[in-house]
Amino acid sequence: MIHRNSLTQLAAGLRAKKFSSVELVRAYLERIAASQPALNAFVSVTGEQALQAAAAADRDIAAGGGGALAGVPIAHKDLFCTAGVRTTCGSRMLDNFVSPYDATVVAKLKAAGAVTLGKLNMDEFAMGSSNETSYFGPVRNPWNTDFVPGGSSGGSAAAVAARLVPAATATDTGGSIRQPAALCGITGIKPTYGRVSRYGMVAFASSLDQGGVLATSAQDAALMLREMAGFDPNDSTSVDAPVPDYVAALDAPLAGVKIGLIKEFVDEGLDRENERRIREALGVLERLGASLREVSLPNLPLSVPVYYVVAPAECSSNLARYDGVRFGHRCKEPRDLQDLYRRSRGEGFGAEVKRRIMTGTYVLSAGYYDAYYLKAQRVRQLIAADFKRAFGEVDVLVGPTSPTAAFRIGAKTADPITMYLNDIYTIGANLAGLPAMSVPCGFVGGLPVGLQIVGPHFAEARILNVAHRYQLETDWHRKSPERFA
Amino acid sequence: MSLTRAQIESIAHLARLELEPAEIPVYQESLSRIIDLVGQLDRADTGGVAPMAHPLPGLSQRLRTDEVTEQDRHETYQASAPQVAAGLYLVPKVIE
Amino acid sequence: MTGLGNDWETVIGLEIHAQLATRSKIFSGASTAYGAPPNAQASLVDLGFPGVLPVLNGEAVRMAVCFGLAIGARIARHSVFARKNYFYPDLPKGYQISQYELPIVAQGALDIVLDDGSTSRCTRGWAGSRAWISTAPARRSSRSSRSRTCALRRKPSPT
Repeated sequence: MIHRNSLTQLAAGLRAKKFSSVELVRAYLERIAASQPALNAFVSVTGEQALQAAAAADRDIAAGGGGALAGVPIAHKDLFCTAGVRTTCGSRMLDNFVSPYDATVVAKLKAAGAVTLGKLNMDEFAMGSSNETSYFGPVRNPWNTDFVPGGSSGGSAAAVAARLVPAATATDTGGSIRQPAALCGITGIKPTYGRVSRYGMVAFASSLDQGGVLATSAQDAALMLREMAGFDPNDSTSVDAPVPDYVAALDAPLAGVKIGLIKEFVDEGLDRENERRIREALGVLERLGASLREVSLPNLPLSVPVYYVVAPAECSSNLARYDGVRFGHRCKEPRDLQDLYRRSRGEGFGAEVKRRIMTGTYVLSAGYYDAYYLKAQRVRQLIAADFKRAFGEVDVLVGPTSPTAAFRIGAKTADPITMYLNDIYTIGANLAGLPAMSVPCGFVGGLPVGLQIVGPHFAEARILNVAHRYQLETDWHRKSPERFA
Repeated sequence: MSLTRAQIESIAHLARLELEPAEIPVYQESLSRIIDLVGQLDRADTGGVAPMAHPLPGLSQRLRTDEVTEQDRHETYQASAPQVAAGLYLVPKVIE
Repeated sequence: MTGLGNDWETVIGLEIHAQLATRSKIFSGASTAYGAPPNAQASLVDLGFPGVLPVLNGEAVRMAVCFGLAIGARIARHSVFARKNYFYPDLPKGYQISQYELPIVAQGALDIVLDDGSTSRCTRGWAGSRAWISTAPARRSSRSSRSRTCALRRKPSPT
């Protein structure tokens, strides 16, 4: 039952020598192997390397050393480059790609002593909201395996929800940490743009991507994030500002905290039962001393159209490097250079990735650039301004994370637009570069739903604090699926 | 707004993506719907609003010191390569 | 030249690239030393591996500004890099990081003394510094469609 421990408890338990890292790793590796047919959360399991790293961590701890996460098992979304280990991004294009270097996030967590158990399944190149676009097959929701776990970090979310790892890294470009957190009943945080290094985090949309955490509590997320965040000279968009001790800041009382419910998020698209869970959660926050009001962000409903110009535009450029020349999939017997490019890319990329590359190519092409890309960037400015104004009135903004709980596998794959609308509440925080979280706040039809908490730039400590205080009063975050209890 | 077959073929060429003939109408349909979705942006009055390329205001490009920090690691880097010879990446002949 | 009753003036545009003498590359810490074996000086950033990011060489910027000042150019206080997207085997990322609308250096002029002793003023169009502040592939590139020509016009000779 060691998997019932939180990340924080495991770190403390290892340090107190209640158990060893090798024991922990063996236990989790067994759970992972047993879960794979049902969940398909992992693309690669690095058992041998994990046991070696665990043994080394045990030696460090015995010698009185080791970092904050010494010996703690984690796993990485397969979008993070891991030296000597396959990094596939959920794509046939990188099926055979072994990265020669570690992403900064991977290196930092290694330096903190964490032990990597493997690479987690995801929507291909982070494009999706259900983990159904992966070349390696869909990931299933541990609460009900006929349902999606959310995406694109579906593998990370399923693994944490099923207690296959206490925490996992993930990325969020339009909601890919928060939405799977909501659909899997766990806690996820996407930090401020520039807070966590993007070096080694394979780029999808450069002005939106951020690396973050999926864990079973705000306390655990705070610990992981503190070790992951920080300035990186290899990333020009990385912000050179000190990282607060997010763990130390968790316990501040909520008396006097002003909370704004985003008016535009309580719309026809939001499932009524979901709305009830949100309002119940807000009631808890009020009882804790926070004051609640409604705020309006009138341009926020344009988030989805802005995103579906900006993200495809940026991805069409970021994915141009996958050309069969220096790494990745190459077609057999290319007739000429153009054939090499066209067939390597045509075979290597799945349909959703191709769709977004083509959308991006179209909106950036001559004659359309101003009407689409520049226009979208201007509307983005308006949305960011709405948030800024709102934060002049309140300390944090709240709302639902996702319009519904998890849906059945295959239910939304016929129409891309239907799938895109899953991100309607999450995209705004990416456009404005704001830190945002999702915490479990109840169930609808037996499936989890999440409360979203958004803060101003670099207010991770604040939103983690609100989430933590909520979790001290409630126990949604302690619930885990029967099947994986 | 409906994209034509020719437009899809042109976009696919710019993006160097080989599409099966049967796929073209599928992408025509979905891309047209996406373009309709983004057409909602016309509703916004963006007169005098600057485009936002980067979500954090007030930052400027950081500059790196001019020093050599990399060594020759081409053998490691080329271990992943589909086709190399004598340190060079091989591609089909470029005929101009 | 004359012919068919028309007098034509020949105007020859020269697109000039100059390589800044930095020790390391513009976006990576790889060496710029001449004569190394193929790809011996290609870092992960230069090769466009998944996940890598460019970081701008401060000395390249300084040199570009120096050059701009030397030719009396306008130095932009706010300058932007853009991606020029196309596919070519010596363009690893599938785009070139270049300057387009807001170059660091713009306008400016260079006086060139011709064989006959007269002086021609070579004036630069906009985006003149693009040749330097860019990741143009090692082989000489003439595929640019941007006109950054330097036109030599003989001053009218006294008769």
